Amino acid sequence: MNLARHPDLLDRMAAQYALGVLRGGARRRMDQLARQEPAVRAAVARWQTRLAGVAELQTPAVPVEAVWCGIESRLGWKAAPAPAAGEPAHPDGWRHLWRSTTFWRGATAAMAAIAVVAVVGTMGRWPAQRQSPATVVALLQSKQAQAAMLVSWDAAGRALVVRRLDDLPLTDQQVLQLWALPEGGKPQSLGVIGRAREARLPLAALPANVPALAVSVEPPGGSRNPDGPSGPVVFQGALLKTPA
Amino acid sequence: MALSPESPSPLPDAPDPFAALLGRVAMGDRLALRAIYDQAAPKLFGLALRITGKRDWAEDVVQESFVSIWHHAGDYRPQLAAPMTWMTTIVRNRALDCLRRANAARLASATPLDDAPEADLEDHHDGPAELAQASEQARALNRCLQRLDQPQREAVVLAYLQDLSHAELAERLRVPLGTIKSWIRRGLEKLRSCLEATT
Repeated sequence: MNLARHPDLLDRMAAQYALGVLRGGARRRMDQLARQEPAVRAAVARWQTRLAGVAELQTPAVPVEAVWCGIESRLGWKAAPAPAAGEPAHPDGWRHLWRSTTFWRGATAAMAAIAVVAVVGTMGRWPAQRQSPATVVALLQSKQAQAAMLVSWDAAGRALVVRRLDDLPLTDQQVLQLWALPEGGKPQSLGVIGRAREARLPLAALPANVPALAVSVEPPGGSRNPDGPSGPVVFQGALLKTPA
Repeated sequence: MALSPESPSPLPDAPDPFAALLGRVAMGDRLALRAIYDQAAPKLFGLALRITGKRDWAEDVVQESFVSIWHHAGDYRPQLAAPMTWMTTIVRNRALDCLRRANAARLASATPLDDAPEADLEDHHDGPAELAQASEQARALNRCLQRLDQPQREAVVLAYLQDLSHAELAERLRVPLGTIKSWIRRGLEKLRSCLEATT
């Protein structure tokens, strides 16, 4: 019998197949029909989609903290990495930088000049996003007080857009990672930039109460340290405006 | 399940925070995986516990699932499924694998049956459904599940969660096979008309 010509029967069989109650011959027949008939495949897929919600409706239960440790060890994150960049990483490096006021001098003035240019030019590389202009939110500087990275916020696309202006050499074992430096809190990763000149970092919203951003050099995959950068902080700058 | 008060559903256009986090995980951001864990682990662990019935198995399942999420976040397609649907599907598949492995091991070693579940599997059928963090689609399914007779709903939900056949359901729920077949058939039929009417 051609199931595709009997929509009611097809739907009934597809539903039971997706639910998983069919066994033996009935299941094998549906396997075979699904391979041959697009209509059967579509009916099964429709039911699989509908039923997937069952898994979301179960009562939560809090796992013990050791479960996360197990995930880290399964992913091989437990081994302490060697510092990624040429200079030694000291865990509180970002903190020293944050306190160094001279690092910030001039950044604000530079921002004002560059912001107008940047709003126009930042996007472009991502055709789907071309409609949504990104607002520059920070200009990060290198330790030599050179403009090093433009960070923009694409409110419509919910992403930070970073554009490198620096010429920092990176080996293929080094990537850049962007951090939010909350007032009185641990640095919070905003995403791994990689080695590209431009990158988009999807983000639901900018973290609140963040006066500054920083970029560190990290091993591929980003910092192994859950509390912040593991490699040296190379760029830093004030967050000029916190968009809604 | 008693009719539960609808918790406020997210605005249709509000970006799903898990979608942004999965995007960061796809780029290798470890802290984003930790953020997903912090927010979703109870939901995912609860599901794993419901399917496997044992805490240590459920812990294994959640760990395997997060390894999968880490490696496959780049394959996630928001137009195909909400992030929570995607993640719970991974957990269900892992949990069912775990049950199959356990069954195979038990058969191979002929060890006595030790499947007294630590979690009360039948416990939640009459409680309110958990809508926190559920996708729009899961909420719609929940509304329609509430309209089924309790035995039909229990049979459908249990069959899906544990991948049980008609015969296994009959044994588990201690009802004749014919009755189970009829509950499943009618339950699915009502679900279909309800879901088609609301979407």
